[in-house]
Amino acid sequence: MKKREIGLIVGILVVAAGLYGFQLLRAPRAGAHWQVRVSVDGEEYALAELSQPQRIEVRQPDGKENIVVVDGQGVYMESANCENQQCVHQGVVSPENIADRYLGGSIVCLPNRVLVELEAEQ
Amino acid sequence: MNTKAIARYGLLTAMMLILGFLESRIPVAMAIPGVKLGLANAVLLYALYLMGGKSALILMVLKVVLSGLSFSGLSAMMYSAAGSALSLALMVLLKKIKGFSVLGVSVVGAVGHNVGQLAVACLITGSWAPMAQLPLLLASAVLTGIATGLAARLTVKHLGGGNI
Repeated sequence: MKKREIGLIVGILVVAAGLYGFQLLRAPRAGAHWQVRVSVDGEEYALAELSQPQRIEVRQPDGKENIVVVDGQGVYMESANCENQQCVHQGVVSPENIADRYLGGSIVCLPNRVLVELEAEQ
Repeated sequence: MNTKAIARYGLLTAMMLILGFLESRIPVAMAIPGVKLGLANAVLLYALYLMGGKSALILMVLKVVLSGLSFSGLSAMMYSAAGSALSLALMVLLKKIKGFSVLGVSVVGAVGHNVGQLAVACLITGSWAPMAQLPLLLASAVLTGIATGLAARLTVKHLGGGNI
C-alpha cells in the first residue's frame, strides 16, 4: 500500500471518529423534552408532546390518509393508504432507539409525503 | 460494438449481478442498511483499469438498472444509482492522481457509494437523520474498499494485466 493511500485511509477514519465524537456531544440528555412533529409536504401539520398518548389523523384533500399514534413512550405510523406501506413497517421511534434507527427520529411516508419526526427540545 | 465486446460486457455484467445478489443474501450488520461488501466493485475496478472509464460507466449503468429490475427493487434503485454514480466519479478522478493504486481508488469508491446513498436518504426523508450512520459506514467502506481493491489487484495481475 502506498504512502498516500495510508494517509487517505487514516484521514477517512479520523473524519469518521470526529463525526462520531460530534454525535456523542449532541446526543440529547436524559429528561429532554420530547415532541412529535408531523409535516405534510414540508409544512408542519401537528406538533405534539411525546408524553401524551394520542392519535394524529392526517387526511389530505386528495384522499391520502395516514394515522400517526403517540403512545407516551414512542411514536409510530399505525396505518396509511399508500401502496408500499413502508412507513407502517418503519416501526416505533422512541428516545431509546432513536440513535440506532437508520432514519433516526423520522418516519416517512414517501407516497403521501408525510414526515413524522421525534425531536428533543434541549 | 463487435461481438467480442458484447460478450465481454455481458460476462462482466452477469458477474456484477451475481455478486450483488449473493452479497444481498449474506446478512452483514443487519441493524445498519447500507453496509454491504460491494463485491461488484471489484469487477468495476477491473473494467476501469483494463477497459477504461467509459466501459466502467456502461457496466455501472447496466448493473444498477438490471439489479434494480431483477432483485433489489425500484426504490432501492434510487439509492444504488446515486451511490454508484458518485462512487465511479470519485474512482475515475482518483485513478488519475499518481501515488494512488487500486487500493486507494477502491476505498474512495466504497466511501463514495455510501455517501451517495446517505445523501439520497437525507433528500428523501428531508432531514439529516440518516447521516448518523456515516461514521460506521465510513469505517466499513475503508475495510470493504481494501478487500475489493485487493481482489481486483490479484485478478488483474493473474490475467496478465500487470500491477495496479
